[in-house]
Amino acid sequence: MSLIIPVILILASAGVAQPAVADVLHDLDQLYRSDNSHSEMSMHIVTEHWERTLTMEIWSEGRDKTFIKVLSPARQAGSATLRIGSEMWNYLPNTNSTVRIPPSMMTGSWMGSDITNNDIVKEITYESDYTAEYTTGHGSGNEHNDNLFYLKLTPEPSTAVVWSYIVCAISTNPVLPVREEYYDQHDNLIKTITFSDVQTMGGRTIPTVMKVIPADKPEQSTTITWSNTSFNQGVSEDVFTLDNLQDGGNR
Amino acid sequence: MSLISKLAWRNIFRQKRRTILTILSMTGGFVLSSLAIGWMDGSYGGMILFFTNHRTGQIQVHKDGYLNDPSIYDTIDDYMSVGEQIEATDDVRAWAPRIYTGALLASRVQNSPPGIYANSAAASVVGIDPVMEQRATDFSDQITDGEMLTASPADSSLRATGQILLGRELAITLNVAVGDSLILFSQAADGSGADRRYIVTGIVSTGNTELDRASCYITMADAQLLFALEGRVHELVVMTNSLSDVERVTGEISAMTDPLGLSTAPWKVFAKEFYNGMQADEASLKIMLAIIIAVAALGVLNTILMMVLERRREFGVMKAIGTRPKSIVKMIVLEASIMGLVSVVLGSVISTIGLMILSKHGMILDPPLDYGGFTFREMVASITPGCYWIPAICVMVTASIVSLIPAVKAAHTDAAKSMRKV
Repeated sequence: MSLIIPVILILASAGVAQPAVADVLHDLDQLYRSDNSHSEMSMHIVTEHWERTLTMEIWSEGRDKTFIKVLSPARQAGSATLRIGSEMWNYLPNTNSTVRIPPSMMTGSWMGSDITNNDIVKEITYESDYTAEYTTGHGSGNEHNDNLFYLKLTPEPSTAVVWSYIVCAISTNPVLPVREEYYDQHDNLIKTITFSDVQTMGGRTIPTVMKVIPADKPEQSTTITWSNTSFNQGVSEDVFTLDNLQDGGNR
Repeated sequence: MSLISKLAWRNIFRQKRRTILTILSMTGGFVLSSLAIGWMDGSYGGMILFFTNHRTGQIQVHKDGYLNDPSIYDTIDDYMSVGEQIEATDDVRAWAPRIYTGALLASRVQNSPPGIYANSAAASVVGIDPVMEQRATDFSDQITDGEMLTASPADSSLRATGQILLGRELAITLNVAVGDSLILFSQAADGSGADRRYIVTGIVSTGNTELDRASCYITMADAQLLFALEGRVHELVVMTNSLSDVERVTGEISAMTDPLGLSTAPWKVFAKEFYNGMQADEASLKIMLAIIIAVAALGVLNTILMMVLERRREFGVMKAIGTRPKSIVKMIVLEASIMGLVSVVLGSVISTIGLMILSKHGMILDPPLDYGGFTFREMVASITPGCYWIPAICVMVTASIVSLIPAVKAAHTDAAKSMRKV
């Protein structure tokens, strides 16, 4: 009896504290994903030389279709991005033209932010493209938080990414990402993404603020704030067409 | 004229065949060295001029640190006043400003719906001032199709179609020709999107395919508006009156630009790859040149040695009738010097003709030489002072020094012995 209780306690604590890795990955993958979604968000970009906030409307379907329309500021309003699979197109209202983004530009910045075209196009899931394990490390520059769990995500050899691993700080109950740190093969930090302001939106509990900070330019950041989102409410197929894009997303 | 000088002069005409042979050998040495020097000066000088005239300029001014890590934000502000001060520097022939950014260019695929530009490629965009560029560099010579940009008044709305020049390989990638239109899409220095419609006015072929695959050129006024860089540029290129002025002028411009947070560098610094490649090659050519000169000198030595040895009996007779050894040495050296002088004059005439032909009709290089991405298909000679004075000194010095040794030997021979032997 005296032996069994501690064993149970250990098992219990392990069970509660560390949910199965696969479950965590599944939960993280499903966080923002759905059959279809329609959201509004703002993107606040800070660089050494300028600062601006873009508001935009986003439609998505499955994992491979996204349509983004910029609502403000005036100089960029009306520009839109359509992504179908790995193809990406930009609509430029000034010249009323739709331009295909070539593969060589995929690592380039999207709308001047710290988000690359690749980040938008890549259909990566933690479940199928990474192997994960719990780690005692907790990323650089942060205190260990006993309420969080830390996962080290290593991309599968077939996953084409520029980082060599991610240290992910996760809260449980519900499983939500708190911070992701991306490292290169020399263990140098490339970028940090923080997730905050957890709210219930479109029937889901999600962090509504996501901030990307490149490690080489700490004064620079891109903050995405969801202001409105709905999941699985149905989106017309006509949204994800070049015709709609050429119309500036007004169909 | 002393007796010895008279003797030397007469000796030259006494054995005409021997004299002609000696003069020919020395002339051959002169011409060989002269052509080699002219060739080397011509090919390298020509390459530097080609390289700096067509693209880079001889001196460049940037914001500090721009060369190592170019950024759209590292600009030269108030560049017109900097340029005016540069122009006021001695021996500066001209200068031109440039803007460098990157952009996406997109063209339409045949039969695609209007407005859809599916053919796209990333390229670096160079903003040039058509008038100043033409004054400073031979940029417009590289336009193989169409015409140079014209200095059109700035269109602040950016709605009108602008003019663009495309590198040859970039035009092939985009499948466009002169007269076709395309979309340029980029990001301005203030973070906003920048897009504009352009019409291809010309195709540029610099000889560097890597460059031509990823370069396009628009007018300075256009570039400043499109990229929100009003009154700012990334580079000033400076041309001097002569390559030999570059170092000094660089120093003078540096003194003016350094306090402004700008750095000034000569082509040897900013075109390091080109310079290093060229220097390595030049070093090997210099060794070759030294060998050619040594061979020519050996030829001279050989003929003079033969001439002296042939005449041992004659020197023996001279000694027997009381000529002092010093006089014999003087006579032989004088003979060699006269022949050397004739060779120099004769050689100069032949070399000038040869160099003129080589400077008009160069040698086709197959395979072509490649320096810093630039391909040189032809090498031509140039006529420089070095083509004359280096071989002249070489011939005269070898003629006199080389003749000294056999002359001394001849002067000290035992008269009776040498007369009996030969």
